[in-house]
Amino acid sequence: MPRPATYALLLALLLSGCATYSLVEPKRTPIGDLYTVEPQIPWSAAKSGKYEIWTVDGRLLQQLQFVNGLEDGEPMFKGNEQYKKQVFRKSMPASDIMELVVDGLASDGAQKLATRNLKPAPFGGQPGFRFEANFVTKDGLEYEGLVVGAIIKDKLYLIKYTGTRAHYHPKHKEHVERLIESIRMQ
Amino acid sequence: MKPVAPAAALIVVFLACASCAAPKSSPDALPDIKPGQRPSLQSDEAGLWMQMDRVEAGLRTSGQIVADARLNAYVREVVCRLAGPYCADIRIYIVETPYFNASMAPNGTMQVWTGLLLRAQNEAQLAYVLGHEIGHFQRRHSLQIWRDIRSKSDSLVFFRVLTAAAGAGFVGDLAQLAALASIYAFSRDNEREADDVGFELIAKAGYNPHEAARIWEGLLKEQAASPKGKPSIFFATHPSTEERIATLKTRAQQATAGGQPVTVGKERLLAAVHPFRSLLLRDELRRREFAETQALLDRLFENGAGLGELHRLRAKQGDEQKAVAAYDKALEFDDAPVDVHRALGLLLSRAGDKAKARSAYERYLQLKPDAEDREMVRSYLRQLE
Repeated sequence: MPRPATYALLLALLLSGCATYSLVEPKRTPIGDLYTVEPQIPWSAAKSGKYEIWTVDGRLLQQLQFVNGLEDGEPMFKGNEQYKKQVFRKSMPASDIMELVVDGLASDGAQKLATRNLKPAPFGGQPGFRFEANFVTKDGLEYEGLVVGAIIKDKLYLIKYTGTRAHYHPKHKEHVERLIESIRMQ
Repeated sequence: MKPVAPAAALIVVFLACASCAAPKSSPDALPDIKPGQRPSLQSDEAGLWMQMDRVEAGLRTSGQIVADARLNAYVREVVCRLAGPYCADIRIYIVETPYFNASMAPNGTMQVWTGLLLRAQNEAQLAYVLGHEIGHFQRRHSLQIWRDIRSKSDSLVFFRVLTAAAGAGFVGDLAQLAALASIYAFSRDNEREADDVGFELIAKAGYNPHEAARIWEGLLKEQAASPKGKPSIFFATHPSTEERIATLKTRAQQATAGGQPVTVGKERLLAAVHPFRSLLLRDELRRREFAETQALLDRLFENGAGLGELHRLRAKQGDEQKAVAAYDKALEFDDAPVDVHRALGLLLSRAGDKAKARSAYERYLQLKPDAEDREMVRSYLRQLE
């Protein structure tokens, strides 16, 4: 069974009874308190604290994860003991944040992780970064990933899009690219 | 998603290598399996094998398998040197996971975890662990555990834990596996028997039997360094490490009393594993069990390899300076990875040493002009202006 990076987070959400999905309509939508995006298609979204997970076909097939305003010393992901060791620091350069994201994927069982094309990229007009990743689940299913992010006022903001290499990641990749381009600070 | 039952069954067998079953001296002991032998179709053993065959089919396509032909051929060569006529009955799967372990299913499925390959300092040490697993196979310990479990009144508890463990993934959540192992912690005699077989096999194959104790001594150092102080899964159901070391040392002295030449095979193991050392170290560091990893690195590398990464990741007070010192030392060696320059640049930049940081970044780009992250590194350089 595929276990993308936020499996444990979703599990925690489900256990806490907070994982109710709601429809995100294709119109300008606030993400946390910092910025808004304009999705091109409807998504289903589950929200909990600083995290949001959006999906169209099901989170195990493809998901868009938003991490909103992680503070210095906070773990990148929540849900198991291993995540607690993977802590964000405001002094981290993009290379270290990429490593943190990848280590989170590895903690969820992702194998043969590879990253590529780490480069500077604007995040709603702010200096940010982006990179791509690919990995294989324990069951051998191949996934692709795209991550953009920025540290703004010492807090980390991330958007992570993952999905199966066959069909589901490419299916909405363009929609995600346009969503990233639509980021506008509030 | 894999069916729960076969996955669960394999977990039983994983732990069979670390537990249970009557020792050969016991009246319940089974006769050894013969080379090429398959169980009678009407037997419960055939049912167990059938489940293992199904699980093995899933293992073949698992994302955790290290498929490299040369590494697999090397491990197979060592196994066959030990197993002799049983060689054709054993199928080896190298599993990418940073923990020290190996396991043997009754149908001949052997798992060798990469944490073992990282920790073995020579071929004799690797051979000893593999010989131990071959001992479980020859003695049919898995079948014995299977029968023991079914006859136990606590089977309900067992299956509850088993189901939970199976649901945690193929190899299983480590905490769940440890919980499962603890149920059978009483059965260490069987482990001693597998130890005996492993020892006999390496001695017969001409390996230096003193290496058997040395791999445990290394693991003991890691265990002692751990702030948690908990034994690993492998230790949980095995005889105590101290007891094992003492027994193996005594046996090694007896075995080498005649002064016959023996093989350690350090170069052979390093030649096979070296191309994967970076990968294995990265997996090990991802555990973020820094005290244990430091004990491991101290044991494995005289040149301080990996220490820079360890200090950079740990990022406690004083670690940045230690990381810089470790990277500087690493760069004294010709085979230092190019990425060390970038890592050094990041640390020096954070420490405010702009000139040296710039020099490190420029060296990285010079040595790796097509680096995937060249644009990012150029942006780091611009930030230093």
